[in-house]
Amino acid sequence: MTTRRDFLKVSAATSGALVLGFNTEKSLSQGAKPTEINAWVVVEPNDRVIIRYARSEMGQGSMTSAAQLVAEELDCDWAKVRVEYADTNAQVVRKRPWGDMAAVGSRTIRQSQQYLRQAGATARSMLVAAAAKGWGVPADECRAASGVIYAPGGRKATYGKVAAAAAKLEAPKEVKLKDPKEWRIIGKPIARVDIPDTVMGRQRYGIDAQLPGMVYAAIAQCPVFGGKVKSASGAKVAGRRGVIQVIPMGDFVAVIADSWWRAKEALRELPIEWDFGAAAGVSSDSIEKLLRAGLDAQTEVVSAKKQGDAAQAMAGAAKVVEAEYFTPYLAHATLEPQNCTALFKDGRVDVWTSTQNAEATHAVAAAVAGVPLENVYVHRMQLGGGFGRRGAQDYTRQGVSLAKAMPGTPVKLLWSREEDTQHDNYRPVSLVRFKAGLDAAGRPVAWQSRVAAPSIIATLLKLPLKEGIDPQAVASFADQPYEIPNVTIEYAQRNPPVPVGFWRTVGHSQNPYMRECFIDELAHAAGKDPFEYRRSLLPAASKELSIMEATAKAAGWDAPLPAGVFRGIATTEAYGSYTAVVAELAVSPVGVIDIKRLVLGIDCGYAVNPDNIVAQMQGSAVFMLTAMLWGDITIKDGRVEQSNFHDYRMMRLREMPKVEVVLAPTGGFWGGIGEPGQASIAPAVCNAIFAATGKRVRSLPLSKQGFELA
Amino acid sequence: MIKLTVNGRPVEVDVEAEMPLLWVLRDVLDVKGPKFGCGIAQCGACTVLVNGEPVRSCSYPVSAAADKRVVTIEGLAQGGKPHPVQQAWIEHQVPQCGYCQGGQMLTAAALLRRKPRPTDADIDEAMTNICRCGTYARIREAIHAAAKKPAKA
Amino acid sequence: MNRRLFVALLLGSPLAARAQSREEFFASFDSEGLVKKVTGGVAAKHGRVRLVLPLLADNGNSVEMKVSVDSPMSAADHVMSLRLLSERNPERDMAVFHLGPRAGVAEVQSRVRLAGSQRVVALAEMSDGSWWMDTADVVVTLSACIDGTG
Repeated sequence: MTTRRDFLKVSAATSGALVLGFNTEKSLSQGAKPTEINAWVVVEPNDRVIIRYARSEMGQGSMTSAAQLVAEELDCDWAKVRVEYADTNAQVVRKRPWGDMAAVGSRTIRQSQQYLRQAGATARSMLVAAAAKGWGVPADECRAASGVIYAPGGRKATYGKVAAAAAKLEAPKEVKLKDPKEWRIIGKPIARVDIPDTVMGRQRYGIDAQLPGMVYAAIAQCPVFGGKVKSASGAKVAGRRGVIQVIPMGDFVAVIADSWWRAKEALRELPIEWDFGAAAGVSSDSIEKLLRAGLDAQTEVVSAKKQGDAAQAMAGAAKVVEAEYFTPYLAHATLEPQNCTALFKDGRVDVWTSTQNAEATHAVAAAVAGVPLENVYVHRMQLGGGFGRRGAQDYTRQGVSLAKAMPGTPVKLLWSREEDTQHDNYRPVSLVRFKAGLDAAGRPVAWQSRVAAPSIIATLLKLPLKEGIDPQAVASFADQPYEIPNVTIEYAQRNPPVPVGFWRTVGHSQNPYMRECFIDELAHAAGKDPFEYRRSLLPAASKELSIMEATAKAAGWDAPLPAGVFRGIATTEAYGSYTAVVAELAVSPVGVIDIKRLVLGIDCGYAVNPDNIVAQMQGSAVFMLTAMLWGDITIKDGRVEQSNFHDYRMMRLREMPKVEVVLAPTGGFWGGIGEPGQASIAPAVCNAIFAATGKRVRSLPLSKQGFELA
Repeated sequence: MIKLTVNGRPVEVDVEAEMPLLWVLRDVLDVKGPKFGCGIAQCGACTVLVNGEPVRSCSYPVSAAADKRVVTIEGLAQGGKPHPVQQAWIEHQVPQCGYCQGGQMLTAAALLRRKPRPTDADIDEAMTNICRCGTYARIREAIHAAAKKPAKA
Repeated sequence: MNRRLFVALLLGSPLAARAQSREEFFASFDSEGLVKKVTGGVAAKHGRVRLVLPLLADNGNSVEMKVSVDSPMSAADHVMSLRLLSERNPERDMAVFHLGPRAGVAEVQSRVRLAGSQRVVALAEMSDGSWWMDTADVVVTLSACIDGTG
């Protein structure tokens, strides 16, 4: 298949320049007007095409992949494509022509692929129809390719020439989409349109918003969850250079100054009295006790799955295996700390922030400022990391509140790293008890799990739970792929006062680790090879099986390893894609882990941009290894103990092991990419550690279990 | 008044001597390339070159930059032509969110000036900046590729 | 370190499993069915009722709502009740307003609680026994992580 470099060379040959993407070039010749064919496609008289992107770009590459979907059906010249954000104010005024704007749940492509392709096809159809009408020929005698429409007799017209006429036509009710075999843009490793700006230092993130007369806000939020400001007297810092004002705001205090550093330095000197509230007594120990009580409780437990009679089958089992698994709170640690710049003036609100959901930012800004939706303008910025942190709008709420307190003045709110680490909505802590019964042949006949964990949906979203089940808390347990006849999954929702939220891969960031390690325990108890054991339990047609086999084959599962090197395997579905990982590592007698390589397999159905998928897999490896090696948010006296990268450790370049990606898209469906790659990594590594040491890792992070990275 | 040169332009700033260079660049001079990630020199998103050497500007007082040449990512390209590191970063599609990459590229450019053909161990030692998106494998590839390019800044 | 890319093009069955589009999401709410549960099986006609809800709501806790009905509100011809129905809330009946000719004007403004993005139904029962309805789609942006409001 075409490599990215080959594709770039081909494009360079046709366009005469390296296809870097034209997002920063001026698009219009003097006086010419661009024509909107539909909400997604704008054509300029000079044949440039603007494709609109509704969601957020945070490095997952969707801005480019989504545009590929439109461009494919549009049959335009990719070299002439420029991608622009859809405007949120227009979204409201035009009654949501762009639909969902959230970049969450690894679903930009799978949720929007149908209507994006339709938009491209519809626009193409109208452009062709306009040309045909102008020539007086039937539209079905014309064809379009690379932005040019051709008709018999040597006639041709470029999209730019017919755009104005096309926009006047009625959009066809139905359009036929291409067969995947015809794809020329989808499936290609196209260079990301936003990378040149990043590389040349032109990219602008929320933190980079700059306006005339702007002031800066540094804030301190109550260190204890749920606490409030009792008093904050600005007198002590009033005379400091650049300090403008001190504003107490309920649960935080802001220092406003003419630069952020001055605001932050003043904040350090500001005496603040807090009313810490009830959570001041909470600790990691008390949280574990709460969860443990949930494991044994008779009340406030719901059934998430009941298949067959697990208790009865367990009683008759030849062998019973039991284990408890634990995963800690984790912080998102986006490299760009949370921030929001806002201007409240004459009943209008302008907001600049890094957000995973511009509509949520829009709605919150309107609500906080008390203005109609039509009066809000959210200016899109690139995100310095999302990972699920930036769906929540706490920083927007704060930023717009401050702007409202200083009408007419733009206010840039920026969190310090300490505030960011200690005021996150964390990946939930989870304690899970497993019990499985094996028959004489070692096959599992009964499986019981009880999960004790907070509910993101109930606490962050404040939505009612259907039958008390939070699907995230039991993800990959209730819907596991193995053929086990009697299964009981229970959920004990226990909510410590630590705020929880959607951390990359959410429930699949921790539950597959537990499940796939426990399956390994069963394999071991049955005396079977972990790969063969899974194979015997997965239905023949299951995609977990096919990706596991492809990954194991690529990793050479049956080939002998050097002395001291051991393997582990895991497989799971997540966000519509099927993943498997083989980990190879050595462990020294004192627990130093040397990961030789990780082989990451993924079947995402259709692969829109293979190079981007590889990048996401590589990045997922670093993100998940970081979490499993060191990730641990601990609570003491109702506060998060960690504060910055010195005590919340991040993997560095020299520590990243060799990562190989097995991209095995089987077509026929659209699976996610941003998150699934993480899901099978932790269990594969822990299973390899067991193979190497005989020690089961039932609790993360590894650093707390006596392991360290070489 | 503190005088320094930023991306070839002489500037004078009237700020506290201890104001970190990062905030002088970002908030006083409106140079947005260097980013804020941690404030304690742990992440390197704030990396700039001071007289050719990588410096974590969040923890570097502006007074220490007096009479020195500061180069940010905006100043890496010379004469409108991308630096070989930047060319390699694009060809290898290195960035994901991109927030750390200005610091990464400057550190890489400084490494290549010191060691035109760095080994993997050289890269390990020099490239300590955090990338939360995990682009390390491509950073390494791109440095090796840039090392093979004829032109150098 | 090499980044080796294996591409194994395996032939698979064309299982079309895709996430819902925006139209599909809002259309998946069975407004007609919801109405029939209240009317005892009688279908409501579209028209005469106007339900106004914001396109976007921040968190669904307190969303401004206005319903008006085209009716003379006379003794002979008036709105007897106005209901707001939700398929997604734990309680189907969000609000019921009993009107009648003394109300003078068939218009109600209030605030409602929405458990996530959904299609809300306003149902008017007339003095002549007829039922009239309107719907409005509201996107609760905070629930984007679990919704499919494409």
